[in-house]
Amino acid sequence: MTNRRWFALGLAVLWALLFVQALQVPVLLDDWYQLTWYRHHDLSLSSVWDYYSYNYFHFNPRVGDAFLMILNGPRIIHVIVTPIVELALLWFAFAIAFARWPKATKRDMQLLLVLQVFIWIIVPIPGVIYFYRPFTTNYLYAFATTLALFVPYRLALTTAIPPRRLWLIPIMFVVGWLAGMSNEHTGMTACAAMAGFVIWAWRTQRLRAWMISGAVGLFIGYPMLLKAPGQAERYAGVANRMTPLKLLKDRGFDGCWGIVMDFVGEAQIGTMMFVGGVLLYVYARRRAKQSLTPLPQQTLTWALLITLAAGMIVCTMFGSPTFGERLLLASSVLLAAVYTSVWAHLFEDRLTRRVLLTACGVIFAYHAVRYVQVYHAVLQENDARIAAIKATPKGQVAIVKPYKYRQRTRWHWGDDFRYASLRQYVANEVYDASDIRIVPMPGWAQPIPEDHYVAHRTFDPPLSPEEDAKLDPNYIPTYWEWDVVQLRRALHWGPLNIPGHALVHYVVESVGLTFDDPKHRPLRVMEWTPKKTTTVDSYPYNDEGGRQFLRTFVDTVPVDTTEVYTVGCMGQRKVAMLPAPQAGGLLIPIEPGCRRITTAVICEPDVCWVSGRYMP
Amino acid sequence: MKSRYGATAFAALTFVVHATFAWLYPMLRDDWTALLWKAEHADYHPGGWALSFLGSHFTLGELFTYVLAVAPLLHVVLTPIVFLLMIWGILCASQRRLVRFDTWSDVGLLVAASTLWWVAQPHGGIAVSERDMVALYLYGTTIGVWLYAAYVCGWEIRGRRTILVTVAAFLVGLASRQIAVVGTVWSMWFVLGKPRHERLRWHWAVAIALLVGTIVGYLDTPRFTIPRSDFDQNANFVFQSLRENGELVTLMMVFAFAKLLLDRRANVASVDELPDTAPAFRCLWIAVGVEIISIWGPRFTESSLLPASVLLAIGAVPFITWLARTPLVKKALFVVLPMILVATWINGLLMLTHIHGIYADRMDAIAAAPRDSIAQVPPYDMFSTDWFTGEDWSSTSLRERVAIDIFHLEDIEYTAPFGALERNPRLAVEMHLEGRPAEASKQVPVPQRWASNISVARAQFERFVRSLHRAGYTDFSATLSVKLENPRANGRPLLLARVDKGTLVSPRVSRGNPNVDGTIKFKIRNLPSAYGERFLITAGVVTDLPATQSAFELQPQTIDRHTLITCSTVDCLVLDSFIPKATAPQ
Repeated sequence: MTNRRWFALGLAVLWALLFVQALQVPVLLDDWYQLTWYRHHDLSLSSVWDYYSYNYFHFNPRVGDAFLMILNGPRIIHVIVTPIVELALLWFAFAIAFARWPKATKRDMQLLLVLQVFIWIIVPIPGVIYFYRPFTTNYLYAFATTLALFVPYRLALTTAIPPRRLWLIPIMFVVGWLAGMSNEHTGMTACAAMAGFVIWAWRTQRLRAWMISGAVGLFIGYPMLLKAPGQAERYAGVANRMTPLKLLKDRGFDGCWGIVMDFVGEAQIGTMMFVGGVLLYVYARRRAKQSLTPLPQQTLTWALLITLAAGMIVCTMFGSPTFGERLLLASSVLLAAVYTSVWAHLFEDRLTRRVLLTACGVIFAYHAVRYVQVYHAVLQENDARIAAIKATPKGQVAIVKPYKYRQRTRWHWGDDFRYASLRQYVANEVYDASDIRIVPMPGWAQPIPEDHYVAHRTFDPPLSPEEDAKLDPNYIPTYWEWDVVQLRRALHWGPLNIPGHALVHYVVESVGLTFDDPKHRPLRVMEWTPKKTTTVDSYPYNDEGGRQFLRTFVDTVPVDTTEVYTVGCMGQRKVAMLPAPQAGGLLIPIEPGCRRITTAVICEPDVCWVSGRYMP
Repeated sequence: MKSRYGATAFAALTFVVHATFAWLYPMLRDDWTALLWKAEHADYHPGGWALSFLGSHFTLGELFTYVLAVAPLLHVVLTPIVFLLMIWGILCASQRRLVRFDTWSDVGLLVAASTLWWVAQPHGGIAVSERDMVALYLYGTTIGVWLYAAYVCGWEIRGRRTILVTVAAFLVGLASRQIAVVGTVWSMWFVLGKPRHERLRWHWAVAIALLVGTIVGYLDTPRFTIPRSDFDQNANFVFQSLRENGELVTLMMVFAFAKLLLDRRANVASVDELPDTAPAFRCLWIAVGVEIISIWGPRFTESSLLPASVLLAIGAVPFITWLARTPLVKKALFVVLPMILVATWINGLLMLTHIHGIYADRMDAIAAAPRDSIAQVPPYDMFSTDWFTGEDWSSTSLRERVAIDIFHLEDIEYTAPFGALERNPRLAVEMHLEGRPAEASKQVPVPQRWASNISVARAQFERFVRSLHRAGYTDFSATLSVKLENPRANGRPLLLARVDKGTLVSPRVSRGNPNVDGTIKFKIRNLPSAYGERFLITAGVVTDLPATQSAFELQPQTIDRHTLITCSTVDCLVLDSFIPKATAPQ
């Protein structure tokens, strides 16, 4: 076969895999929230704008979330666009590694294979990143955009006189802005790298207008993302409580070191393979009595710079409230680029090349088979689940089966209906059921709370009881974070944005909890006024000895707390809060009694608050 | 000669630090099992004791776990020496010579070898301190590494020394299965791969002794197990091992990268000076082999990777010399490697001092508890870390056995509950004995206290019956009954076990850990076919179960007491009674 045919064949195989997978993606977790949008809106430029502008001010301000909304629209968009973006990521990573685009040769096809394999084995959850749309758009699309921004710089700075290309100026501005708006974790490093590129170009008298334009776009986009109003409201305003400096202080050296070692650990298989390849090369060359070719200075220098960028992205997470495998995508792709750029020099040895390519071929094939196999099974179960919910009469409880691939693995996210709040959301917001129950109820799925919530609204000037009753939503989520979201959406899109009447007070209360309050105080979940939202925020926490607690954020605990109770299958207990170690907060001890929900209640003299749920 | 003083000083410091680790490490898990074995066999005649001991302690791990548990001081003295021998062995195998520390660079390499092992070994603190891990992995690996050194250094061993290395090889075969299998395969490959005239007699002797030792080691139960049925799970298991061991590879790669950059800037052709990579390549592959063999169990912990860590350290040490040829890298190595070692030591001393404090509090609480009472002890306040494997008495059966047989208490409970705690079902058990001669009661006394946990009570009963049989009394009947409401009794007694003139009916029920769904697997053996009715009682509610299967599953939804009962037309037997743990499956 000719070089071109080899290249075309390889490309076709990879595209075919990505295409099949795009056809096979199930509706999972964050996808459901997009379906709610499509229940009430069509896909159009104005609806995308409505969606994104709301998100920017009240929810996830990344552009990736707008892409997610679009991909959850007509299926054809996802099937066509996503494989192209996934291939583009590979192309851009290649260009960053080698300072040139891939050529239609057998050797470059081999290098692309190696790069793709390194990406898949270094990224901790490749199947989830590539085939779970919310992660694909928020992380893979995002990093592909960032790489797209840097490729022209990388290519230009390897030439003595970079092209002027005036037409690139607006494009680079837009790409720079999109890259800035794409991700909080990569933006800092992107800005530092961009500053380095521009200064270098300026000092070597190679600076061009499009370079400045791209930099300006990035330097506008990233602060816009970081300072977006939505950041303060997302995840129930967790960003307000966990500032980067506070997180850095809370994590300390051990926590930050742990993040670095997590990345090192996730990359370890790739690193072992890389080192194994180098050892094999040295061994093979010496056996054949041939000299070792030293790595070119340029390769070493760029390998160092790209590795530093990967490391810096990891270090950005020291101040991030969330840390998860998905956030390691960017660093993993950069490390894969470094390893591939070094391995390219080993390919001069025939034995080494053959062994390494065989290994990469096997790994690629294994990944391809597992992707197709897992997602084929998951899609069938997902379709069956959707059909069951659709067939449920309005207001009834839908019965669905648990997924076979219920666990989160490197291939698949797992069963998203493990979350009781999602089951309730999907039943009520996406369909017309009252709830969804998994039968048989597995131990890993969260149980349903025994209480339900009711909302009380106060308008100025007041509405008549009949008018107010019309505003009742078909359900109030039994999870306070979602109550806040529901209220915000109702204020933005209706029905609570009534002309001539201003909502001045909104209270959600719990009804039906087996909480016996001797003083018969109201049991509140959330209180909202235009100036302030009041809740008690906590999360389940097990200490190092395995004891169970609800860990509360101190600033949400009422100042004049008089009593704290836990209510669950072990009955009602009056408990004392304990100071939490390390990251601070207060601990509400939970007696391990059963596998049902334990609710914590904090009381003030005249009102009690639902202060968290421990769901084992 | 001054370099030897340096080596001695380092060895002395290492000895002191490791002896402190060993002294601080609490009695844990298999240590209690060893002490229970000692207590249960206290009344044996020396001959019977020796036979019984050899029958159940013929592997290196079992033997030394017992010895180190009953003689804690030996652990303090012997284990640090074995550790030092292992590090010296790593150095000799990597340098392909008997390192005598004639130069300071040898001393530097000794420090480097020690540090590199710590970097490669996951949960290294446990691997060098916990008695059963030390016995199972450290001792066997140390002998193995010296045999490996003997092979690769090309030592000629003759005469009596051949017997010595043959015995050593046999002991390696009796060590952990990873070491035994890899050692056997390697020695066979080494011998058969050599030209005939280069094969020495001791090569054959060691290879055969290893093979024999391995076969004998596999006679110990359980033999072959593949606990994970799914390919992905097995692959993840190996990947996890690679991750754990691989930090050493990353560290060396970072230094090598820095060296290449610095040398390139200084126009030094450093790649030509690279040491022979074949041994490193070989060590890497054997290490991966060790990790793969670990899939076949029967036991896997991070300490199982100790042989792999040793191999990786052997492969890495020659590169230290190469790295140190670049002055700046040499300085970095001089600072970083000792710093890692000292930080590890300090961390270990702090951690184990804390754990030892809790252990001492527990022992004080037990000592202060009146005989036959329930002692209240504080739980350990951490899960598994690099230095400690976490709470060891969360299982009710071990806790109660330890309480009754070692401390003469009714039971041990915790001052604060935790999620993984298994609570005692607190069954009232009693024995009815008929036909035992009066003289037998002196010779074989009835246990003073019956456990309130099924498996422990049944084991007590079986031991009592065996003791009577051993003393020559078979013409008696006994029933071990339990006071428990049985809605389906229909006048039938509820028993745990019975013996009638030599015929013992005592089913063996194994209860697995809950899987991700919270499902627990049960396996029943030694149950006569007459028991054709089976049901579960939970909070007074009776649920029928398939009666014919020897293996079945349950998915408890509450933490009420779950009691499994099987009935014949004559009586009913409690198969198991337990309170599920409150932690949810992950």
